[in-house]
Amino acid sequence: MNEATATYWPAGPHQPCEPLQWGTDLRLDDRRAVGRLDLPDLAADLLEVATAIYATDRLVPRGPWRRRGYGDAWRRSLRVRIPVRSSRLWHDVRPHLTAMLSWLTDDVWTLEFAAGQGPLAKQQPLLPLSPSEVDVLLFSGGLDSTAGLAGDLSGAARDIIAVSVYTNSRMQARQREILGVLSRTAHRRALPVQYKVQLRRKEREDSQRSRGFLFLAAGVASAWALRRDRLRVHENGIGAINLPYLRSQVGSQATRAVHPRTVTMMEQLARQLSGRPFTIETPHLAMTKAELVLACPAVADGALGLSISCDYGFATRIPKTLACGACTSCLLRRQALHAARRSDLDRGYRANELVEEDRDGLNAMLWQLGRLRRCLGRSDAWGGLLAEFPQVVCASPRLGPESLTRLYRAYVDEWEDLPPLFGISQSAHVPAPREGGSANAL
Amino acid sequence: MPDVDLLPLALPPRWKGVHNYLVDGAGVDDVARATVRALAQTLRDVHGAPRLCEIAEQMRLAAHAAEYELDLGLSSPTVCRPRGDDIPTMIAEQVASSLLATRRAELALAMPEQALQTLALELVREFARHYGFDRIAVLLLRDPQEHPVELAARIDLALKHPMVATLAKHFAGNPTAKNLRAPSRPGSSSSISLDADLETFG
Repeated sequence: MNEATATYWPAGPHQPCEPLQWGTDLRLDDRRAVGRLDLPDLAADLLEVATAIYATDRLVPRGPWRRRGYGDAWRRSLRVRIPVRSSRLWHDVRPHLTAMLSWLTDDVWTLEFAAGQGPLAKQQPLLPLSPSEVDVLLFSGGLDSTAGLAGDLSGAARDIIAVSVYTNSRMQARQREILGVLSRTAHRRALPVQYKVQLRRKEREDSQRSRGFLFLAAGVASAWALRRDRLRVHENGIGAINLPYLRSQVGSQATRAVHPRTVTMMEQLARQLSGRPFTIETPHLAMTKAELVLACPAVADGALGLSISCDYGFATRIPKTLACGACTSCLLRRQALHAARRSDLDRGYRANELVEEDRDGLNAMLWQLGRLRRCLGRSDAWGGLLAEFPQVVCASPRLGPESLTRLYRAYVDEWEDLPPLFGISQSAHVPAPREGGSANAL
Repeated sequence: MPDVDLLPLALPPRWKGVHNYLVDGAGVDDVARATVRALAQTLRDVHGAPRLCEIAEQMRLAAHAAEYELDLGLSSPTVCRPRGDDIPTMIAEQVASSLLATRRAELALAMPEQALQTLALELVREFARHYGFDRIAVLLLRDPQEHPVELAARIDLALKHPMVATLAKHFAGNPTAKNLRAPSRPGSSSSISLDADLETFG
């Protein structure tokens, strides 16, 4: 029997389940896509699976907020049953998908697949595109994807399909606005393919660590629809690797949405599902955010100014709400714009000056900066980095020790000129003395 | 593609005492004494790291086999950590990986007991940073007069204090931390060099 409804277990895998009715509880819509794609079955399955997983992630709360700080109330056990067109294929990739979701969310996932299908139906594309004419890129409307897209457009021989997921109309409008500005300044067009994902139940969990999977799934599915075997993702290395600011952060409390390992696991999932090669290119992984901005053509300044990096900027869903200017994402953006000598674009925040209660994000970043400076000052900088931030090893298969060491050195150096920007006393940035190698003897 | 990073800043009660000592500019002995009390309480609360000996031996054998990276769930993309594998164990695995990356040659020559003592000491220090000092640092830096480099140096001094090394020695013999108590105040606090930690282990 074919199923048309996803199911999730809100109170744990062994408690009663609840339906996730497509259209009523959960909406996945590609009608707003200019290039409205003819999604093959596998692509439709991937998008629907990712959407159902995202919904489950948002509907099941983690433990009490205070206990999350100690790590033990952060993890959940989640179970979801999803109708798919190719249930045998999904059954085969289940171990890999489960491992990927555990990495992204820190949760234990029980995935079940039933024969059926969700809301995406076969359709004739409104704007037929032949495979040789386009490249496919993931576009969020943030600084990195805007700068990366501008760079791609400046040397493009083909039009670029910019794939987005939006959860509110403000996000959709801003993504369109940026693409419009970029298209006017380039020889080639940036064509939006936007998927609307809307949860029509009250969200009970705001950490949304599976969102990275949903975005990547949209990119892969769109590439498949266009018969392309590659997808470009523009994200700087510091933000993508996202080393914990504090040791008290465990696992994905430091988000891993576009971590190199996430990207690699998504590539592997795409290959396993399709049985064909698939590559996710991350051309700016070895760069800091400032270096990415520096590489962006100056004609794109208007679009960079429209981009939103704030953790809360799109989430508010309130028109004309400004970015906070104080969350770690805003601070990294501001640091990058100043380090890239584009401080004229550092505007549009609720508060430019950080007041005391807004400084925790900055203080955490400064604390991490001090640790980075110390360990990179050792004679064996890579060993120092591994010792201080063992998590960096997860990025090393995609980016070697030399590139990682250079990346973090460049990031630390960029901060040297910035103290006045955030009202930090210059003395706080006196470099720590260089340490020798391993001092202890057994 | 930003998602909100969670920055855990809540301080367990015992660590508030350490925070207060640092705010008051107390000397290293006082900070270290408060630290080992808070550490002992924390270790008891989280039931230690029951797999400490096993992880230490894995680390030593990996060093002996010249494996540069220890696959403890960090380096393999397919490792899925089971539920119930608790945070202290995860921290212990990360510390072991760090030690292997930085002190492999020494670990390769170490006896099992030495490897255990080394891991226990670094783990106790890491617990102090995880449950206490990194949270305290963000709170203290709210005061613009507070200096991150100086603060880091004060914390390092406290963690190199012989009382911390003594606690680590007790912890190595009692990985579940049942009834683990903070060591009493030493007669002298003059030996706070790196090597002093190891002298304490005898």
